[in-house]
Amino acid sequence: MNVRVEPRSESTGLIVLEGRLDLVNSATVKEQIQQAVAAGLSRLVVDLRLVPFIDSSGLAALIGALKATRMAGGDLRLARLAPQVKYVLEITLLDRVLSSHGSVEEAFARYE
Amino acid sequence: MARWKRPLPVTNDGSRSRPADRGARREETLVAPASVESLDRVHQALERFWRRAGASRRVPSAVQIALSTAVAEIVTNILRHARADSFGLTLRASGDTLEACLTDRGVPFREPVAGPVPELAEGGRGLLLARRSVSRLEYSRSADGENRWRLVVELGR
Repeated sequence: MNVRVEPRSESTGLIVLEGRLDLVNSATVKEQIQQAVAAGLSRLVVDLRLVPFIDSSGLAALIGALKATRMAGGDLRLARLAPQVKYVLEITLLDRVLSSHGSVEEAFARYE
Repeated sequence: MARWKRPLPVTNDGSRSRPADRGARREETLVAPASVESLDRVHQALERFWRRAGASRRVPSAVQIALSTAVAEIVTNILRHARADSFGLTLRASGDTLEACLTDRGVPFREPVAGPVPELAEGGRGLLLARRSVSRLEYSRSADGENRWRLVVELGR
């Protein structure tokens, strides 16, 4: 799992994940996002274009990351979900909690 | 009279396959150490299974997604809780039924206390996700200590 953090402004940032988001790496991904929040990036977009698969630990990491952004007064949005990721969010009703968008730019637009 | 005049085609993973015929069984099996490194192998087995079963049965991608999701959750459950050395996975397509079977010789599975998962809870969704993804999810433990998970999808339901 590759994690890239790209600040976009003083408080917004793009997180790009690559690979499956599951038991192997979920805890690390959550920590890295928490570090980005601690560094001041409280409004995040997570680009999931290169994440073909997510499991319940991956969901836990995203929820944990969402909570970190909210506690810092910000938010977390997802972009470019693969079919299996969409499926998992819908079937767990977490699509109500984690907003997702068709593009990274669309997600950032919500922060303006 | 020989039915096949030439050797069966060998696919690039070294296995042999027959052309599809109605009612044919397709099976994929894997035995792997109960460690996170085995997750790659589980996904590879699922991909091979869908290439073969999918080709002969036109399994909708939504079903492939659902069963793959459920299999991954049960494997993760085994890795996290069973304290087993290894686990087995069998994927089978037969008629209108898809079945995944997971076995291990670890500790008995204990259902976590039932109840709704709070919206922002981080954990506790794995089994729910598995259950909602298949027609049937069954757990049993044999007298000689084998845990067995059976995940069944009835196509066309």
